[in-house]
Amino acid sequence: QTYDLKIASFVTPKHGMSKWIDGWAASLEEKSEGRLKFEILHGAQMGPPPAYYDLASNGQADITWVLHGATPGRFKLTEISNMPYLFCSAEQATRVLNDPSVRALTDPEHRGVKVLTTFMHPPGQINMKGGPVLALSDLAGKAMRPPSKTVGQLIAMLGGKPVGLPPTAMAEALQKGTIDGTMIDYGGAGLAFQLGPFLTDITEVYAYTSSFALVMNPDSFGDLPDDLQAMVDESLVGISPQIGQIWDKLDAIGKDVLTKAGVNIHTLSDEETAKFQAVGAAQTAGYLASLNDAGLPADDVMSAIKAAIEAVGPVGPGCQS
Amino acid sequence: MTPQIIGLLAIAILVGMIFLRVPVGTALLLVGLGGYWAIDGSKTALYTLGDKPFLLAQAYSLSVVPLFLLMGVVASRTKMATELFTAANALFSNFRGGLAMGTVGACAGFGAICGSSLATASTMTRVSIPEMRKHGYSDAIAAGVVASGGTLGILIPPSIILIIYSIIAQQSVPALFAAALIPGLLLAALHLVTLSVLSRLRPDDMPPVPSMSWSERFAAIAGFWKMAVIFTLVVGGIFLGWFSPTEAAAIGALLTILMGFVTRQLNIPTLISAFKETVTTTGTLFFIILGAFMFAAFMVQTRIPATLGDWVTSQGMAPLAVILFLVVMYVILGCFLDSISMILITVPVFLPIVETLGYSPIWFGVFLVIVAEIGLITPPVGLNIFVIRAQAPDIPLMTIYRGIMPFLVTHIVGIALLIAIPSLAIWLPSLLY
Amino acid sequence: MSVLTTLNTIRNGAAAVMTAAASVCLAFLMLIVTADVAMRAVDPKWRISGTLDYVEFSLNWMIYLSIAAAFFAGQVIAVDIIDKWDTRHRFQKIGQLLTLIALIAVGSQIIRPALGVLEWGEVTFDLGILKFYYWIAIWAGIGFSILAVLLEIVAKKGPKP
Ligand code: NA
Ligand code: NA
Repeated sequence: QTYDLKIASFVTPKHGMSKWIDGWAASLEEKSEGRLKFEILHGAQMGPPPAYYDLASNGQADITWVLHGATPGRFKLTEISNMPYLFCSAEQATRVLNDPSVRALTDPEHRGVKVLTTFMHPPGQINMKGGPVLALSDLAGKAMRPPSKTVGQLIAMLGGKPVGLPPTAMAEALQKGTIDGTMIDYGGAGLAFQLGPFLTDITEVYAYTSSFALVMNPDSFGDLPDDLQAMVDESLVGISPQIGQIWDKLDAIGKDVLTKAGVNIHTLSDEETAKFQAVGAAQTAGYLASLNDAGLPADDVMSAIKAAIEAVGPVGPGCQS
Repeated sequence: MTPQIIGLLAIAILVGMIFLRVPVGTALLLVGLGGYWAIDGSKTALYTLGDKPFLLAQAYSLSVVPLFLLMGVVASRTKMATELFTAANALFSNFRGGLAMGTVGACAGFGAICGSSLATASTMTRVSIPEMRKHGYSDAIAAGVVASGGTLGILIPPSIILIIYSIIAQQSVPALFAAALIPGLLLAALHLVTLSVLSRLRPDDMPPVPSMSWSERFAAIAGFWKMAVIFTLVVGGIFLGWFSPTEAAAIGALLTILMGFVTRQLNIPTLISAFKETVTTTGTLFFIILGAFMFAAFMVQTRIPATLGDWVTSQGMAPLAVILFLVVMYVILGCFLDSISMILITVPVFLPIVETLGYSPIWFGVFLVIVAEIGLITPPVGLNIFVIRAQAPDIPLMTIYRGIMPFLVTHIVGIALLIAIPSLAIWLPSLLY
Repeated sequence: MSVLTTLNTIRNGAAAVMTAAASVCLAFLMLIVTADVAMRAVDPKWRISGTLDYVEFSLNWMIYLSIAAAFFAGQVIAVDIIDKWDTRHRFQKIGQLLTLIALIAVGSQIIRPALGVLEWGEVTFDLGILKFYYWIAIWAGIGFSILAVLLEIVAKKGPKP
């Protein structure tokens, strides 16, 4: 008997992560000698990003790629990982988020699905049109597009003005000056959204990142015979470094594309970095306190993340300096 | 039954239902639901049906439609519309079919700022169809030129659909915008040629409007100052970075209302009835769009695009044959799907094939927008057609279909030129980027 | 006869109420965007926070109230290829019944996801408004549309030939 599984994502098939998913599916088809069969729908064919969690939990698709930040408020504990200045690379972040001690606390939040794996993109930069941000004061009153609600709060705390915009409207808004800048990582700016021609300066802060998960409908998984279930589970063991490196590689390529498009890259002085980090720490403390007040084990999650960061160490680009 | 066969059967049923006077939105919803059910079972089909209203509510790109509708309705309730047409007529008054040519020019100009075919067609329906009818143009020509002209603006930056393509295909937005400009202008010119030919073949459809003297022309063009002020503020504001094209819809609508009050051509009762008409038209259109979303979700499940993709690859066809095949396929798909759904469904499947054949993804983007926009004017499901029908309910749909036919030929000629001379699209971006 | 008259009065009244409410949403949408643009032209710091949230909120209500208004006004697009009045009338009834079925199918399926969003506590991007308030608009729009089609089937013989 063959088992047909539908994989859906809102990301272009050309993305490095989409290609990883294709390869993962192909290797399972081969290992199962054709008993597992995948149909893969990349590129938002099944709806916009916020739809993907429910697509998996409802069974409209069997496996989906989920962006936690697309549905603010749903994954409160998992989004602790999106707090600023936690990670220095996608590899480090992905390995930490997949650490069994962290997953034990965040998986229960993913109601109605089986979490296959979680991952994070490389920490993002401050991308501006019309002048660099070299000091905290440079951000005052600047209209910035945040990639998530969490980063929106960070922008506000840094003195900027968060402006909500669909990602598709970013290039246009930068071109027309509706926004002064945008918070996004090198891969997103250079490759996914092709912002090079619309930006003049980037301040490399590696400050914030967003988390994703690959989730599966529990019934689709339960319907598989034991040996295939085991095969799927085994295929996910120890993949975090590999996935993190794919994302980090996109970071380097994206940076290269942006530099070639004439965007100037800057870094902050130690003094200014300290100011930014202080704001980040305040945001983190406030967020954790609000979750604790709501009776959620936020401190436990944070301790687990901190411990895992210690264990994993500084791996990947952005961690060297 | 394979999903592909279910898909083809469902298309046949859809066409049958539409021609048996089932409301278009209803037919799309029910056939989409039934087809999804047949392929993937009741549970997922019903879940998907439940998702679509939420998806419609989040379709930010559609937000310009009601606002531009309002702008068009207000412009037509005041004298601004008439004045625009007198001015357009002045420009083309020594040509036969001058009013229709003026419509093409107005469509291209209006579409250029708003980036949405639906909004362009709806505004121009209000503004120009009554004028053309008043001057004795046939309903078919009047509706046909607006439906087809409405698709022109999408090729002239900004364009929502090219932005969506750029993200799936990972191509640069400015390069795509640059690539679309020359084909857009070319297509507008082809529309003028078509009208010129039609005015000779069927002179009764476009009776001559008395030619104007130079002083009359100046007066006519000067009379157009209100629309000119609004247009300049809206377009100028976009280019000076005061606001985005999406925001321009709100500003344009408000400016038109204010201008109406300032020139005493608008009063409160007229404004209220303009709002009323905008609301009803919006509701009529969005019910169809809701149905189109469900039908598109079903088309993904049929795997028809993926199957066609596999077939093309396995045949080892010559590159030109593949492109011609794609033209035929998109025109057929476009009869049942809206252009955004079509791009979301097909680009992930066909772009890799086209790239392997050596075509540039920038070129393919322009190609795709033109063929997808043809879908807006092909019967039975063509959103531009429904826009016109919603605002000019006394023109029968069959008459609109008939009026569009010559312009389908125009679009096909445009596509043929783009295929024969790829540099029409590639030259400008290569120069700039 | 008097029952029919009453039903038609209800239809017209409901159409007027839906239209007025949708018009208010549309006017608000237009004014908030313009105000945001105008204020940030004076000073970038004055931009209105959460404009996107307001736009989506009012647009959402506008769309769904408009759909209901269109149904109350009997303005739904069908292709009139059939000219003979008798045949056309029969097909029109079938179309109305199918529309009722389609709307009830949609209506039965939008309750669960909206409640799900409420249970998850999902909020908007900028202002943190509960997403649930957006989805009530969908319930209202589809619910009123069902009512409109029901009234149309019961109260109206169809348009004059
Ligand atoms: Na345009
Ligand atoms: Na069509």
